[in-house]
Formats: sequence, structure tokens, C-alpha cells
Amino acid sequence: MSNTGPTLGVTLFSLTNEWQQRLYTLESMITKVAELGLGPAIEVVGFQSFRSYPDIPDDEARQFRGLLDRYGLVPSCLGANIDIGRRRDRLMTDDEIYDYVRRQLVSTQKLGFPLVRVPLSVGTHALEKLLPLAELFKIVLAVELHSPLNAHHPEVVAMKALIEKLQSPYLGFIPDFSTTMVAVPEGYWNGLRRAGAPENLIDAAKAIWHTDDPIPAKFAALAEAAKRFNVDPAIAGQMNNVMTMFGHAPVENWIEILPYARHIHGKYYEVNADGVEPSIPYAEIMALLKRQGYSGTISAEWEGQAFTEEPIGFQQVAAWNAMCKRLLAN
Amino acid sequence: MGAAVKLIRDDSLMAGQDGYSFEVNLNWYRSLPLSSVEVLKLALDGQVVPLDQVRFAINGHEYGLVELPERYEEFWFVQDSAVLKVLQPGKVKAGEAHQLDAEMSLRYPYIQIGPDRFLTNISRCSDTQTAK
Repeated sequence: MSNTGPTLGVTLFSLTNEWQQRLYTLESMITKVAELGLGPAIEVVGFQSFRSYPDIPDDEARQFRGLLDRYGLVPSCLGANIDIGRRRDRLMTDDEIYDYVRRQLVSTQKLGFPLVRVPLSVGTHALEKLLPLAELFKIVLAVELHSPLNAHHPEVVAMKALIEKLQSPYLGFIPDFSTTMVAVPEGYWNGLRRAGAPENLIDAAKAIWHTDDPIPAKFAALAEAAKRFNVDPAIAGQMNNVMTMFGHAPVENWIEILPYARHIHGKYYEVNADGVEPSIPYAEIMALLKRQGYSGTISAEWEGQAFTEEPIGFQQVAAWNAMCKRLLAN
Repeated sequence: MGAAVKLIRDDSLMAGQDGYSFEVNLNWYRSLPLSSVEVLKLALDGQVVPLDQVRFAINGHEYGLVELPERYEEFWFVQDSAVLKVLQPGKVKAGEAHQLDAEMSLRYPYIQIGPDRFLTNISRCSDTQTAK
């Protein structure tokens, strides 16, 4: 791998508010991404952006490739999903999981993406079975490592062992910065305040979040705090999310994953007026990526839509892009 | 995830021959199989609507609410609205203002949170609209 540094870009997921409010079509959204210089790497969640997904017709795929070509943008990653609970009566079988991802792999190939994001729920069985097709298509199957799936999570360790065993350039990981955070985003606490959570419970939750206790122990500690402060158990239940959605593993944990990283989700919640993301240590992360010689793509993945319905996605992606460029130039 | 769109679509109440209809938005960032959707409660002017008199129209198809769990191969696209048709003739006439209440749950079939449990989100909306 030549050490040319990472290539920045964006996942259209960052523009979810604009998309849901129907302010853009796929064409006008990609046009604006290009005009604002937020590429060149473009990532798309299949089930978000394409009406015909998971089975994209040839002409629609051709139009999409033409659109990226027109603006000099490059496809980085197609986000696949596994709707394992789509039936009410039972979960998908391994064979159904295989077939569901296979359909999305075919669409990945048609759309021109070199890599498809798969969730860890794909399992080692289906992943191994999918590999020959991915190799035929020359598409990387990349397992996303989103909180709570940090480098030391048992299922991640097992998946890493499989990837090491199979030794294929078409298997890898997508690190997501949600696992290496230094604080819970303030927007999250503000949402809980609006729902009626008192300050003393929020302080207790922050302290519990910072511990290294296992997740079930954190849930129990939260329930206990809710009882102590006489808070509605429903609010305490809502707070359980905080323990799984945001992880605080040390940034150095990425070192053992980076040799297998084929793409990265540059997760963030807010880049503020000072050009800083207060809950994710971007300076440390970007320095690490440079030191380790990571030269793949990184998507701006703004998840602040969890806290606001304002269509500020483009502004937030531009702020992220400027922050990362500044840090990488250091 | 916040609610980027209102559950009941603005200005969508329509009076018709067989009853009335209004549109609902998908409050999630990605398309979902129809089996993920459950209409929990509807009311017109505070009066509960029997759910067996409600049809769910999308993608050029129309289903009874009890048929939705079987439609796991069909998707509700993020930027589309579904039409809820209430088969109660005469309740809504064009030009009249009515209060609509709706409650709908979405079960995210790719976010498993227990052996047989999936993350589920309930949207509620109350809106007064003048029928067209």
C-alpha cells in the first residue's frame, strides 16, 4: 500500500434530514456535494438512496455511475443491511442471510462501488460463502465496527480471526469512530432533559458511562440511579442506549484493526464553531491514521440528526471536511 | 434518531366516495419492509377509528393492516408517503376541518436488541386539516 494518506469524502447518510424532508433528489444532492467540494469519495446506504434497492436495474445503475463521473466523484462504499427480523414469525436463516447480501452485492457491482459495508450480523458462515462472489466481482466485503463493537469485543475478535485465516484482499473492516469517543454528545443529554430527566440522574449516567464495567452492569447501575433519584423508569430505560451507542475505547485500539481497514466511517455528532468535535478525539485519530499509513477512504458520517431535525447536513459535512484536512496537514 | 418529518403529511386529508384518506410519512432514515410497520391507533375528531376499516396504500398496492406482516419483501421508500384510507363514507366532506390523530410503530428489522426483540420506535401525531 503506498502511503499517500487517506482520501476524504462523505456518506449521503449525513444528509438524512435533507433527504427525509425531500429537499433533494439523488441527482441534486450529489450535484451539491460536488459543488461544495465535499468529495471525492461517495458512500451511499442502499436502502436510503435507491427506490429499487436491493435489486437495482441496469439503467438506474448506469445513470448513477454517469452522475459520479460527471463530477469527478468516486464511489467508496455501498451500505448493505441485513433485515434479519423482517418476518414476524422467525429470524432469517443463514441461507436467507446469504441470499439477501448476495442481491446487494450484485447491486454494488452494478453501481460501481469497490466495497460493500456488511454488519457483523452477517456471521462467519454467510461471509465465507459470499467471498467467492465478492472475489469474482472484485468487491471488498467490509464488516462495520460500530459501537459497542470495539476491537476487543468477542464477536469482533472471532471475525478478525476468520479474516486472518482466509487471507483475502476482499475481506476487511470498516472502523467507526463511535467506539472511541471521549464524551457522550451534549445533544444526547439535551434530548433526555427535554424528556424530563433531572440533572442529578444525567450526572450519574455520565459517571457510569465513563466506567469500564460490562454493559449489563451499566444498565443495572442506571436503573439503581433512577430509583435513587425517583425518576420514571421509562426515562431510565431510554438512557440505556447511551451505554451501547457511544463507546469509549482508547484510540490505540484501532492499531490492531487498521491492517484490515478497507474504509472508515468518520462518525461525528457536531463540529463546532471552533472546528472541533467535542466528543470524538479527531486530532488523536487523524495522527494515528497518518502514523499507521492508512491510505483508504474516510466518509464524513454526521449522526447529529439524532438530535436535530434542522437540515444542516451540508454545513456539518463542510465543517468536518475542513477539520480533517487541517488535522491531516499537520 | 430525531423525527425529521411529521408522521401525518401536511394538507393530505381527502374526502372521497368510500370514505376519506390522509398520508403518513416514514420516520426513519432508510426504507423498511412493510412488515416493519404497525398502525396502532387512528382517531377522527377524537373518535377512535376501527382498524379493520383502514387500508394501507403504497407502491400502487393496497393492503388491509393485518396483511402488512406478510409483506416482508416489499419496501416503503424513505421519500414516499403511504396513504391511509378509512372506509367510512360521509364522515369527512370536502372543505370541512377535522382533527386527525395517528400512532404508528416501526420495528427496525436489522437492529436486534434481544433474542426475539428488535428496536422499535413509536411516532405519534395530531393535526387538524381541511379536507380536499
